[in-house]
Amino acid sequence: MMSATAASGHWRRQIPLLQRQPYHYLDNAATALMPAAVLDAVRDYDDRNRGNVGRGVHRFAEAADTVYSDARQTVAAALRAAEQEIIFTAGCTAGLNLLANALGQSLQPGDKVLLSLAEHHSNIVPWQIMAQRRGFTLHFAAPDGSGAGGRQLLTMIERYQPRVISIAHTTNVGGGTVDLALLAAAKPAKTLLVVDGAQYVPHHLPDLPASGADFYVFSGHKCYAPNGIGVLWGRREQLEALPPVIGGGGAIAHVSSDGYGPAALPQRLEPGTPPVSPAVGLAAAMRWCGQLAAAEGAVLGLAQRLREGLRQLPHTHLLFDNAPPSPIVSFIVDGVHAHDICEVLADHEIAVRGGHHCAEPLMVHLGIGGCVRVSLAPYNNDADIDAVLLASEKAVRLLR
Amino acid sequence: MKIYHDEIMRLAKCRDSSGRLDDGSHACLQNPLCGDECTLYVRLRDGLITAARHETRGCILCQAAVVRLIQLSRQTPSLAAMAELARAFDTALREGSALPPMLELFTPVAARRSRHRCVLLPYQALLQIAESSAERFLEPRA
Repeated sequence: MMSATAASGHWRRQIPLLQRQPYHYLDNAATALMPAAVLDAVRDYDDRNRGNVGRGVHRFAEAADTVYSDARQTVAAALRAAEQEIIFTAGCTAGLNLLANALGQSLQPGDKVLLSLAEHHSNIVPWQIMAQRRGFTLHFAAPDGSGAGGRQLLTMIERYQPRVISIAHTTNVGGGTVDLALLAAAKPAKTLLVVDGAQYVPHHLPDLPASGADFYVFSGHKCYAPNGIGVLWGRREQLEALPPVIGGGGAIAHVSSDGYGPAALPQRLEPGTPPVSPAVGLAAAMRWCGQLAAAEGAVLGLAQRLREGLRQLPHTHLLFDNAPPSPIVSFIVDGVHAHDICEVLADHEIAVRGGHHCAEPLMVHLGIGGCVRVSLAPYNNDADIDAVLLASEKAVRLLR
Repeated sequence: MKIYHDEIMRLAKCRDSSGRLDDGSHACLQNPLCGDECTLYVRLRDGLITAARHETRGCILCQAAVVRLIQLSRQTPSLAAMAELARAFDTALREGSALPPMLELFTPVAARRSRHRCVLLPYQALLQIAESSAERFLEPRA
């Protein structure tokens, strides 16, 4: 078994960007870096097999059909799902908007959708848009001590009997993870459980059919894949029941001036030319992620070192200080704006994020304007943590 | 830290223009990237800014920018002139051209696109006040 140092070196050597320009990249919850295997897969497709899918009979079209189908197969296998249940989207936000629109169409005044205050805006705003349009109500559970929407959700499920629960598997500021099996067992059978896996999948590949979720979405760019690709998974019967939200070529069986007939899954929910080369990249990333279980201990060890170091800094407070270990560590410094701390860190070649992290309701709930978030990946190492702690100490001295 | 030079830091720590004006005009703007929030209050008469204050929850650059704006409004109280300065500041940052002389202290920020909105927020608030104010049609009396 590799030491933690050797392990991080093993991952780090696979990231060309870090080899070319050594940098302390700890903004992985915003966007992760791409391993050579992913870059090579995308380049190979674009160099040798580029064509449109499901439309032509020439060799480039056939090659594109094959790689796109293979990509879906690979992603499905990684998540233990059926191929027809894997819908490629433009990303997590696109997937959540599709679901909010489709599910929202059947909701009406009196119906309730349950969210948490810890949700990313992409899992709040689409529901707000639909709630305004359709007249149903949104209810927000407070995050628990881990920063995830958890215990209060259970109480609210019983009280509100919601039609939909839409929740982050792992939250993007606190880094807490929800027990989906517990939620699935607690909810009424007819309540749909929508899960935002954007921060979970970069660290664990979920067994989606066994997860308890009815729908699950995540983005490619946060799990070491290109931008512009995401996955919406749904139980087959739930996907079949979704009404159309967007339409176009590829998603239909036939079209006339009088109407159309939809295509079968998954194409029915993928109108337009699909994101073929990003999907190829995502498949390569899913293969790469298959190794990640081996890195979990090292990543959590680094996070723990970071938390301990930040606790020693004056005027510095961890958010969700008693939470279980997580690759996401967020903190504030009394009287200092998060952006200013990030600026000092950036000056020391450290990439982190500061602000409200597209989680404004959470910031309001916590009574803060923003925070600094450090988010780890397998290619981070002790030198990265040392750099963050040193620069944070400088920032506190300079800015207080 | 080029952008956090002494003059910026000094302005950011200055508190003598903090506070509200209960009569007059105000505009509150936010920066969705970082959560900066700046409320600018001005009292206007005959096209002149007779008083200005701010309530700002923001980064050092935003704090420095609003304090500088209020300082300049005391030197050049014409609302029209200040609005023109705000537009020139915005244009210069966007185009990468030289900043107006009175705002040269923000020159290191010019190379940092992600921080432009931090310094522009108070000036955009002033523009909002100017554009919604009837006073904008008035030339200041000599």
